[in-house]
Amino acid sequence: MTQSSTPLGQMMPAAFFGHGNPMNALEINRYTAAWRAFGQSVAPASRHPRDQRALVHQRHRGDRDAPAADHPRLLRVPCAAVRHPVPSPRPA
Amino acid sequence: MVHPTWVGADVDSWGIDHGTWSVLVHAFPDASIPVVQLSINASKSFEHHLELGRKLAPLRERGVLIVASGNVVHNLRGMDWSRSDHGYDWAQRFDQDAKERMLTEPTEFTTLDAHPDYRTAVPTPDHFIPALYLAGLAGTAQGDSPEVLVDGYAYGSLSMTAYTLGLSCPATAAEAGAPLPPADTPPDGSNI
Repeated sequence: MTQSSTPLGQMMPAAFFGHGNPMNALEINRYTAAWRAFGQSVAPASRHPRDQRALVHQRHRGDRDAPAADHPRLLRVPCAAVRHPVPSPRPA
Repeated sequence: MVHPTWVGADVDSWGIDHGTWSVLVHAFPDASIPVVQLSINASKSFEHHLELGRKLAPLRERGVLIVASGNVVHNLRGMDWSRSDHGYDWAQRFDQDAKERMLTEPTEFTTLDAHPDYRTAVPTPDHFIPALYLAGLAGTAQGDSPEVLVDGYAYGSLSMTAYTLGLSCPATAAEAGAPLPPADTPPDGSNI
């Protein structure tokens, strides 16, 4: 992982999201509107937005310490979500 | 940074979980930010997760946005899909007390397992534990407390509360709540 791209003295924010139904991916409601507002508020926080990275803790019940998937082979997607134009993960 | 916790690459088992992509597709719709997803080990103590969150805090100074995704109240067996914008009394009691803890004494989030409604609100810890990471981060943030980004309930037995740390987001207009589920899918087959 490369070193600091955050302007000196500036901390990146952090967040916890209650994600609920995966169909929220396709919906526009008060939760998804808040997630969108969050993303838009984060982006200007760095002068180098393309150098930002995100570390997401999610709820997969792992039996090992902390597997990290940064180059996934699977996207677990409800059937209806395949119509949504989500970009594929880019190769590392 | 997280020693002695082991972290390794999962290249072939789970992939990007719905808890990650269903949120990020809204937050960063152009998918322009590289994402590393860290699974949680639900067999570890709440203190372990809080401490791991605390250890990750220096990443915030290195341009890393740390996001946790779960549900503070999450009882699949208790879901009532006809009430997509409803929270049972026990769900509201637990989420409200969790909220008070997160906003005022985040490192005490670990003691919520003593709450009278804990066993109903958190029958399995997998969706609750991610909140401990934000609580751990908040414990290291001097002069900075979590704020509620949005809150509400879904299907009676889920809370949708979201928190931010180090960022105040403008309130969004009240719109419809949680989506209706697909028909004829049992709760434990819904991947929620």
